[in-house]
Amino acid sequence: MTGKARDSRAPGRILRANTLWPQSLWIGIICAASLASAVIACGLGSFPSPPAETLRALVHALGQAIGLHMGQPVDPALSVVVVDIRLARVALAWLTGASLATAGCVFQGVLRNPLADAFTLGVSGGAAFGASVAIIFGLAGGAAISGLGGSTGILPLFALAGALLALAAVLALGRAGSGSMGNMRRETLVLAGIVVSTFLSALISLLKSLDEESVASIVFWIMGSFQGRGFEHVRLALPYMAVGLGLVLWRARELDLLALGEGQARLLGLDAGRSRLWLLIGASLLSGAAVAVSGVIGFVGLVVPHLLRMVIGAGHRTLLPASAGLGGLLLLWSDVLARSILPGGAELPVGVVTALIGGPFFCLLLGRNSQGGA
Amino acid sequence: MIRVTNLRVSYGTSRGGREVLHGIDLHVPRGQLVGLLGPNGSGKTTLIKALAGLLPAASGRIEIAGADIAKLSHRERALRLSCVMQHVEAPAGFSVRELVLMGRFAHTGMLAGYGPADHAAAEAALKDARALDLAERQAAELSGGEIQRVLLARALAQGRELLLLDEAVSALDMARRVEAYDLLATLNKGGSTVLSALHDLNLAALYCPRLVFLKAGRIALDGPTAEIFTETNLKDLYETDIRVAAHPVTGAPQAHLVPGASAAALG
Amino acid sequence: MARTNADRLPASIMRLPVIGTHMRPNIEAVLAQRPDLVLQLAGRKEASLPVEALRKHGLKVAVFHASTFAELFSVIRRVGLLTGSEEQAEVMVRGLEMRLTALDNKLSASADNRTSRPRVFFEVRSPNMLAAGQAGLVGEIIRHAGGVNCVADKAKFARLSEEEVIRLMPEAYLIQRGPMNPAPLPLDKRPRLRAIPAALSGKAWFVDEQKYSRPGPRNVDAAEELAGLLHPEIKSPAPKVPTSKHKDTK
Repeated sequence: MTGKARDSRAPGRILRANTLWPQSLWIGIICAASLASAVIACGLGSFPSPPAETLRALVHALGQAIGLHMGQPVDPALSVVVVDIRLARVALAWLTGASLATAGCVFQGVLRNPLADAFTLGVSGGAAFGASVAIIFGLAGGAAISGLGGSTGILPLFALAGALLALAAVLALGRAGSGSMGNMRRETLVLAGIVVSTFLSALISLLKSLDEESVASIVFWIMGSFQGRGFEHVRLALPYMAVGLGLVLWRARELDLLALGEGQARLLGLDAGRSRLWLLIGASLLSGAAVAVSGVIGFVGLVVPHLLRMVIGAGHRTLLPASAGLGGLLLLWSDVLARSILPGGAELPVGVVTALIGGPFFCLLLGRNSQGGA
Repeated sequence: MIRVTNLRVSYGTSRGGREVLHGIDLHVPRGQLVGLLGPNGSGKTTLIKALAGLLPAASGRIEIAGADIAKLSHRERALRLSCVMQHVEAPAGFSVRELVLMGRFAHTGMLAGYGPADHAAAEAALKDARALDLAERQAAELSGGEIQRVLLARALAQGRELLLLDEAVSALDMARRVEAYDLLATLNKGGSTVLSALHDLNLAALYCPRLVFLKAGRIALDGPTAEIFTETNLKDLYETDIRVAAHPVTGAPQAHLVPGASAAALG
Repeated sequence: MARTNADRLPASIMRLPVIGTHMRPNIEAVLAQRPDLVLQLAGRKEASLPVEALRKHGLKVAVFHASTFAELFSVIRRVGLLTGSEEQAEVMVRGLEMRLTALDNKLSASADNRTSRPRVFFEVRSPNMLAAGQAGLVGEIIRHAGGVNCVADKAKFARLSEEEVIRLMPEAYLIQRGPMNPAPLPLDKRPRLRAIPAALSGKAWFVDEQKYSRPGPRNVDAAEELAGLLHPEIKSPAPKVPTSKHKDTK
């Protein structure tokens, strides 16, 4: 008893200001910021687009979408750039960021491991491998990557299967040492993720060597990018993302219980095994769909939930939607940087941008966490 | 309320496992307050875990309110009994209120969240467990004693029909222990059935009208406190010299250790 | 004599042994051929590593650089010199030079070329878009064919966003097809590029990567072919020039 006793009169350190900032307010702010960012991002790029013209193009497109005549038609080239290219990329980047951050949040919650994420667990690598297999064996050609052609549906399915297989392999490896899923040692799990990721990237290299002609198409998957993506990709990924998001949001309270540990969760009436299975399937759907349309993008799933936990707490009913919103926001702006930071309309892979932003930021978070003893 | 028949529980695999409980028979009628006692390793925690459905029975049967718990779903079981375990660490990032609200999980549907009734129940539980002042604190920053109060509050929020406690007050100081057992006694008067495993013989003798002693995975003694809380019984159970005297206020039997007794026993 | 994996033209070299790929030649396979001379095209850094390795083994390695027709011709002459077939090389270069001059003359005589030099976009790879920049033979081919490469990037390749392609307003859009771009979509199947002039006028063609992006005598064929596409009024010496859009030029 004495070992555990702390001074019960010490005032609790206020970690977060959730009493001043109701949690729903955070979600409201993130939503508003996302909308504003979307409009601003549609006005940024190498093609000249004055704000007024950009707004007119957006309003006109919105009008067409809902079947009303709103605003005057604009220059068709500008309209294509603002709506078909930029707005589509904004939407896809936001959805992908939201999916990756939500999936990261779920992986961290289910495995009770702050380092878990689609990227570190090898789930993204698995999805990329699945996509590579589909490309190499001609199930999805270059045409399919650009979202057209008959076999488009095949690619996300392969990416998803790859994601699930990689996850199963990592969990089996991590479990071999430590029994139950919620009690795996953090290091074991991350090491298992590294092993599986390395193995998969070797397999991808093997596929590339076997068929050098597909190298360009495969590299396309490994380096995350939104270049050349359009609304067809949004349509392709949205069903998977919606189902995945619905699944995990629906079970947000179960994540809270799982955070207590398996025994506590079961005492409170949760079938922990079944809950974990569904949550992991949901998170894999989200990451698989994200990789299927954007390639491998790191750090979003790791940094966003971490940051938000420090600010709004660990309750997943708020944390999950907030992670989705902030993840979307982060990737939206990362993509704007990726497509506009180089002169002459040249592009950076967006994965490079998120790694450059996320890497140092994550180090900062780790430093703060170890200082705070949390 | 609880009926246990020939319960055997093993740790590990069915073949190579180590049997910890060797055929327990126990009946706790509705409305009793029972103290579960026994030396270290006698199987108290294992019995509580088996009753709470955390450990499967190797053989035998556990009935809670007439239902075989092996056939109940997690949710149905959680609605019938609430449980406070020992050595629980609260995860980071949750407030005490959020933690107590989680006790209501089994009461909510899959689609609906925690409703006004759940919030009210959590509030009442916090109040009854004298934990209302902690409600806005971060659960991970509480002291060992505070967290036990919060877990008791969560158990109350979950349900008051049947409470299982495993060393639920061992981290509390003396005043808080009395407070907690006063609360259990009040709940018991209000109709709750309580089975509490504990080390503190005297606390058990003060509050529990009935005691069950476990030793080496078997029930050694089971009966009214006044009858079985005797010097001979306790000496046999704990294998050391123990004297029993009446409590100065209530007259309940209280055990007192004798210094140097272990050397004499070995002598 | 040997070839790399990707060398497939002319068809007669297909029976030659393969020594790996141009990026990572198999040193053992090269040595096994006991060559008198190894030819290596300059360019990528990775490619210079095997050169060093081969030289260490006492092989004669000649590294060439060919990003203009003048450089290409000098390479042909030097290879002729090194292999003892100077005369053949000289004849070949003369012939190629004459064809280029003839093409230039024909174009300057054409009224169309005097008034317009269409802005040409050359797609190296898609959908992970890579375009031909100013450096490199593709730019030379476009110039000799009476066009202007609209990508201003000084490098050989430029990674561009789609909106940049729209901003460049290319009047002709070339999509190379070959190992680097195995399954490109035709321009009319790319809705986001529908507003560029090349798409509106239908001046979009698939071209052969081997002809345009590999240095060699075939680059002159490419210039003639492209001149015929950009300026159909001149009589192109190319055997058959498709005029309808999205036809293969092979």
